[in-house]
Amino acid sequence: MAFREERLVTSVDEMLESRGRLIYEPPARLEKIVEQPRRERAVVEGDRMSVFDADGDEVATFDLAERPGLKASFDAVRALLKGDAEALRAGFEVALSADPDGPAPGAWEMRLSPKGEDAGYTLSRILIDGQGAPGLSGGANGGDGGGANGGAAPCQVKTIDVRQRDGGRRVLHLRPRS
Amino acid sequence: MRAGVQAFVRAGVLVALLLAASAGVFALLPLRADLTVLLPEQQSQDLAIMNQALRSGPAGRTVLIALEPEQGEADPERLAELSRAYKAALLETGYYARVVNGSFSLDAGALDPFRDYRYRLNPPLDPGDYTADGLSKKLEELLVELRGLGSPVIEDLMADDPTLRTLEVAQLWRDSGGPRKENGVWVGQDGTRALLVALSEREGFDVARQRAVVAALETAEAAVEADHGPITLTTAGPPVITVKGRETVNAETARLLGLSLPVVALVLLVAFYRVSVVLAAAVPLIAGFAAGAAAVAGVFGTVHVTTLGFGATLVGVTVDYPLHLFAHQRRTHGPWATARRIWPALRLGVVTTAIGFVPLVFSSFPGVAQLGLFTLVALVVAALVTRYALPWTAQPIQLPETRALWDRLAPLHHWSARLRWPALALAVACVGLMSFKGDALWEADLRALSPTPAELKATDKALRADLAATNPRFLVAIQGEDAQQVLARGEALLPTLRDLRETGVLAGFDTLARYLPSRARQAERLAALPDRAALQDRLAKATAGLPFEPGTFEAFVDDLSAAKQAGPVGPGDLQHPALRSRVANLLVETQDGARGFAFIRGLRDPAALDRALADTQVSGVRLLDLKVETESLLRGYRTETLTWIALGAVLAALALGAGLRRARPVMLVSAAVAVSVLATAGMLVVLGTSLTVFHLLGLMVVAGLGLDYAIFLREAAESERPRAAAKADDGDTHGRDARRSVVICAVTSTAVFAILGGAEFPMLAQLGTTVAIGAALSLVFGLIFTGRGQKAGQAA
Repeated sequence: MAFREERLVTSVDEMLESRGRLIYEPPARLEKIVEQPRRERAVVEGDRMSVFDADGDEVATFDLAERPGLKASFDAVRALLKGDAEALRAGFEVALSADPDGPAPGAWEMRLSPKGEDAGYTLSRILIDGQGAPGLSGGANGGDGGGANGGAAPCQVKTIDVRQRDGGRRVLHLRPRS
Repeated sequence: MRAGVQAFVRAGVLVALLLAASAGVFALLPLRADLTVLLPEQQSQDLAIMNQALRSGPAGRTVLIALEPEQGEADPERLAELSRAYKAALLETGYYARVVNGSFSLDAGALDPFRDYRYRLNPPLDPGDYTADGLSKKLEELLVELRGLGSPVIEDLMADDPTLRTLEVAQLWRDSGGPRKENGVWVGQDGTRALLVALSEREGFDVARQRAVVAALETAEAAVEADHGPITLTTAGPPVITVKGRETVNAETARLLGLSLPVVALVLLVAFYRVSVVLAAAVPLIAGFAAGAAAVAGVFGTVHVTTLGFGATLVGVTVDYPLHLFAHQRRTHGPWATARRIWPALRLGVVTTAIGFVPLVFSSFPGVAQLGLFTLVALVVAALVTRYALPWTAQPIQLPETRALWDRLAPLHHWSARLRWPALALAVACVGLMSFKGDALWEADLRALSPTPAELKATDKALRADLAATNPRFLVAIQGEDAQQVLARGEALLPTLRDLRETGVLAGFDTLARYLPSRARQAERLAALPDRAALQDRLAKATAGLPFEPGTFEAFVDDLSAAKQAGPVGPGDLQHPALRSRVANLLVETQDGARGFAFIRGLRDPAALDRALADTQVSGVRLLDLKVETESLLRGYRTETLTWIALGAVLAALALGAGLRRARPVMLVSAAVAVSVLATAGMLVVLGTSLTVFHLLGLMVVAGLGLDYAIFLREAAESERPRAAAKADDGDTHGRDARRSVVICAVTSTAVFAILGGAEFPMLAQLGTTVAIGAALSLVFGLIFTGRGQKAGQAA
């Protein structure tokens, strides 16, 4: 699915934008293809993120375990795309609220607070806007544990807003391919 | 019955005591297993220094790894995946400081070592980047980087280092320039396996640690297999060779002992029908071995495994002494009387052989000197034990009568004297064959001397070939009064080397000057950078119109000013392992200054490089061809050893002359020995063997055996002279006993050394083959040259 990401870095007074596509391959592989400002590609697998340049050569690898904030946000994205409420709750305190007066019916808002101390050191919270994802809401509320979304399209997430303690922000706008 | 029990008790007690003493000696023995002890002390200085660099540098801690999936296609994607998984798993074990698979890891801390010295290390710094315009351009690039996938790292760096200089430095320093890359990781030449290089935590001399370091490789393999299916793991490098080599040593020792001990026991049982003889025969052997090892440890401080391996082969030589004692024993004479009777002949053989080994002790090659001393001491001690301790053990042993079969040998012995001229002709033919072969006679590869099993060496070589960069043949040595002069000279060579790379004369090069500029060069670069005020001013201009918060780059201004103030860094300042590992392989402090190396990859035209180096007019620079250097080293090694052997032969002949006193027997015994040695050498050459120093040493052992056999066989022949027989009390059996004794010895030696000839260690195999052939031939030529043929008998 296509994404548009806005980043806010504390020392920069401007939203830094990039665009591209996200490809999720269950259970754990996430590929992030950036088309703007520069073609590059990252593959997140387990705790490892590898960055490839436009020619497909690997230019760098990161150990996400050493960057708990980054890891937590990738974990959240993966859990959301998979619809795995249990994984989500393992890493975060999950609070779900629906706004009946909101502009779109069935819209919900989720607030994730990191549980892990090291993740919490850099990561403040993750706010997620979504719409009509019965599986997920059921999992989050009812605690039936399975969180299986019963075949419903898992991607009902519209934005993922990752907020860092230092004031940095990373807002991912997702648009399912129609 | 009582005597039988006592026979066991006495021999058993001595063997147990000696084994305990040997165990004590071995517990205290400082063992060495590296090849360097085999290198001469006055070797080519360049080789010595390079060896030092490779030994003390991280090369000694480096493990080379190849991975391939056991099933399915080894496509680049799959290999990259395996490579990454293995790297992570290996780091997880905690035994490795670094694991490199070609990918550029930006894990936490990976950039730290480069951060501190980023304005002083190479690549060259462009002062243009630090003008207002340059900075502005760099900052705009920074904004793009911040939008990219590397942004977490960039974000960490930007305040200190907005020009991202750290990344540039890290790229260069961590670039291997080596193997082929696919999908971001190293793969072999044919692309079917992923390659990794791991650096173990620290130098581990203790066996347990080395073993753990190697075991971690398999732990990581298991971890990867759990997720990715079965893989084939190939490992090499010094730690692996040390551990696996040790395992092979143990397995081989067990195998060789398991084969040779029963064979020796069987021969002795067939000859003497007494188990106690077998036990008693071990006494001089163990005593000699322990004494030899102790003497070497005492004189040289350490004992090389090669020496011990060689020492172990003396099994086949010293076992002859007790055999002589037992074979000569008769009902009418006790063992003490027998020992006294055979002592002159035994002593002559031992002294002559030992004297032959004396010159080797003074060899400039520590390995050869150790072997010489070991053999010398072991032979003398074994002989003394046979003369003065063994009879006590042998006293209660009752030997059965010698069988009449042995009497049939006498006519054959005397008849064989007719073959003297053909034997001499054969020896001349062998000399002719060897001189015809010339230099091709000799092994040119130094590694043939290595105590490492052939298979491990082959794996190591194949992996190094795949990693390409690590086993260069050509290198440029750069000599200087100190490290700075070496660096300056290296810097002066850089443009030439780059040109040669452009024109295809060479594929690549690696030298310290690529990474670390000389102090003068660093000072120049630092001077070109703006001072604090100027930088602040320029930065203010550059950030105008860009969305950076004011004060963001304070740390950058501080760092750059601090670097300017601190001035240049030298090789000694680079203490972080990631930096030091680069320096240690490329620069060595020597007694007379410093020596740097430029390793050359894929050199197509050595003459062109040599000319180009001369044209640079930089002094202290020399192109070395390691192959040529090694060959000349081996030639020197050989010439020296041959000289010492020749000297030993002359001394031995003199000793023989002093012992036998008459010219004719001296000539006959010498001829028997010389023909045996030459025929053995000729046989090896005919079999297509390239001779090494170990063959030469094997030939010395052959000479020792030949002497021993010839002396005893001559006694046999002499005792059967008509007038001698009348004089001696029972001369009728002396000839038979001596022949029997020599035949048993020759059979034992041939069998034991033939087993050694099948050893996995090149060194043992070379020795074994040589002595096995030599022992058999020594018997034949001993008979031929000592037999009392018709003509010979009349002439004498």
